[in-house]
Amino acid sequence: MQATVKLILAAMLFAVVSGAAQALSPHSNLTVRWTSPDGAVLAEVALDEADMAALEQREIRTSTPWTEGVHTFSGPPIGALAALGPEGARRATFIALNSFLETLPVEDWTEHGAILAMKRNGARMDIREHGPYWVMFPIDSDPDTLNTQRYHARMVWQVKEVVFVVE
Amino acid sequence: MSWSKDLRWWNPLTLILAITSLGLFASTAALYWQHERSRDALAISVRTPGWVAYQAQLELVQSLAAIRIAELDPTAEELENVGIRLSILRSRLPLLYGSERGRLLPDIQSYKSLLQRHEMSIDRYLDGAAPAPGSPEAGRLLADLHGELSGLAPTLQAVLQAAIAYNAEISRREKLLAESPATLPLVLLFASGSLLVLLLFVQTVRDRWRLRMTEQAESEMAAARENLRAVIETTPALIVVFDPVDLSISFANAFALALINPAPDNPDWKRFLVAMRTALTGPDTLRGMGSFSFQREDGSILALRGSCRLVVWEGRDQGLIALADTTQLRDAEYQILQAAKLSTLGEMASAIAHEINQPLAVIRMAAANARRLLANGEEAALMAKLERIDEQVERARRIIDQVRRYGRKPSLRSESFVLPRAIDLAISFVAEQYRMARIRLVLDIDLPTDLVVEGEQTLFEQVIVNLLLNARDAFESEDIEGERRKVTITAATDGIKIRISLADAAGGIRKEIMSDVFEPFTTTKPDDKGTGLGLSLSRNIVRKMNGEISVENVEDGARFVIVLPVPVIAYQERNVA
Repeated sequence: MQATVKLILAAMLFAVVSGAAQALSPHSNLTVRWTSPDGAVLAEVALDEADMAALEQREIRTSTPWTEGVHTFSGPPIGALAALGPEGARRATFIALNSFLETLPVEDWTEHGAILAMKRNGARMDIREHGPYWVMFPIDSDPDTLNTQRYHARMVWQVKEVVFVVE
Repeated sequence: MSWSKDLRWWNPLTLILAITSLGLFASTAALYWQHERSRDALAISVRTPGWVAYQAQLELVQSLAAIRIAELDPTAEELENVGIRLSILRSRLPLLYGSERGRLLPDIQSYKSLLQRHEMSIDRYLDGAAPAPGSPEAGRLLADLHGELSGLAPTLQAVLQAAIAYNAEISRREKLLAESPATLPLVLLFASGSLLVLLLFVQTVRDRWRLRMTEQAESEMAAARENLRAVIETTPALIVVFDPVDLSISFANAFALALINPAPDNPDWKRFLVAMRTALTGPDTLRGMGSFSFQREDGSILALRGSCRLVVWEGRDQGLIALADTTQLRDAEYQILQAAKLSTLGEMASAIAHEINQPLAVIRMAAANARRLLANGEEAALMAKLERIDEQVERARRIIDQVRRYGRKPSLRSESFVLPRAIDLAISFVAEQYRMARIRLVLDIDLPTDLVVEGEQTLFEQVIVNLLLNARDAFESEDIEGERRKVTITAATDGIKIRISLADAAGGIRKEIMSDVFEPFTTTKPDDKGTGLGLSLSRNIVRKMNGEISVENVEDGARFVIVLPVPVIAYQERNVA
């Protein structure tokens, strides 16, 4: 009898854990690829949470069209990601979980300071909160340029894959 | 001036100007605002709420499909996929009502509660109600979830359709906006612009008209001034403007220059001004009127009559003199006077003859007696007779002297003479005649013996003689006897005026001619006796002396009163002396 109860409890625990584990699933893994302009793959890495956290982190405090009020977003600058592979990345394509994709020119992270946000107000963002990764621009610091449709379209959320095109 | 009316602040033209300026500003601002709005309109994303609704629908379809697959094959992988899909869907739903664009939809708030209910059920599933892979409840749980989420589809569809309708409306409006970009502001701009131009044009026209009017007025004024100048120049009267400070001539018309001296800086002019001031105004004022004489360089004497007054000339207070040249008139008057005198003399010829006859008769008698006495050798008595002759000659001489004096032409200069003496002389001239006419002459002369007045002595004597003779004639014609046959002469002064009155009891002057008594050709005497000029000439003479003569009926007769001014200078000179 005691063994059955233990087994049921263990199973329940496993269910909970696996259920919880489903929320933090391997889709927190970010695939980063470097290709040449004609599509040939030059390099590829798969980064998990720890890898991402180990990178240089930057904070952006801003409002966005999809959130209420001002929040602090933090994550590695896109340049830091690009630096993990071959030099000379001219553009980056971000692909979301629902296969939506958008391409950013290099100026967006060298001049406009775009980051790949992981945390919002210090807490990891899950898919429902536009996580696990969200291309974030410091909108409030340059609203005339960034608070426009063009840049809103580039703020890809639920990113699962990044492709740098190296020239 | 009509100018001030036009310059008043709220004149209609200024009002219109203000309104058009405001209109210009307003239209410029409106244009700018409209431009900004179109910019914003362009900036508004094509991704309107429809897009969000559409994306949510896609995710819903994907989620429902994933749930169906997991139902059939509840592996860990499929269940994970369900989780991912549901999370993505869940992330879309708040955007429908929460985001800026979502809120654009007019009815979105009514969908909010519906959507939020579905959100909560998704959250419930993801946060713990998810089945374990391979568990028997998996299928049932998933089926329930599927049923639950299917209810979301019509809601999303409704939102999508509302969004499409909204889009259509927006694009229709934007199209309209694009077609008629800024009609009102542009029209306003055009209107205010043209109004401004019109205003400027009207203003220019008005200004030019006003300028023309001003120029016209100025030329009219100049013409009027010229006319006035011409009038002044051609007036046969002396018109002079002088500066009282230094007695210099500021202006003299042609007549004046011809009369006094052609050069205004000639010393004659100063003399003239001094004479004028003495006679007309006195040293303190510039106002006065009267008459005076002036001797020119060549010796001829002018008689002038007129007035002087203050005038502003060349910005200063100066004196304006207007005088008529009465020289010829005076000469004519004097001639008449002389004629009158001579006629009077003529009248008095028999009386004069009678007077002279008396001493002559006495002389004759005395001479006859002297011859007798000489023949008798009575030398002592002879001397007395000779003395008698001498006296009578003297008497005759006096009479002749008086006649000569009387007949003499008057001096033309304005002189001064001792008044009481003149009165005495005048009386003595008619004394004999009064004696013969048995009229008593009563004198009450209360004047300082050295009282000097201005005027011409013989002329004044003439006046008194004239009055006395008139009185005598009146007695004669009225046939009055006794006590009443007397003439009273009184004279007195109060220091400012001298009053001489001559009263008779000869019946007075008839009421009908009382007012005309001093007019020329008024006479009560028969044609061969009276010229009718005596009193009018007398008045002229008295007036020339700046005096007045008047008459009134008193008691049984008439009283003539002569009032003369006491000349100030005369007294001053005497006092100083």
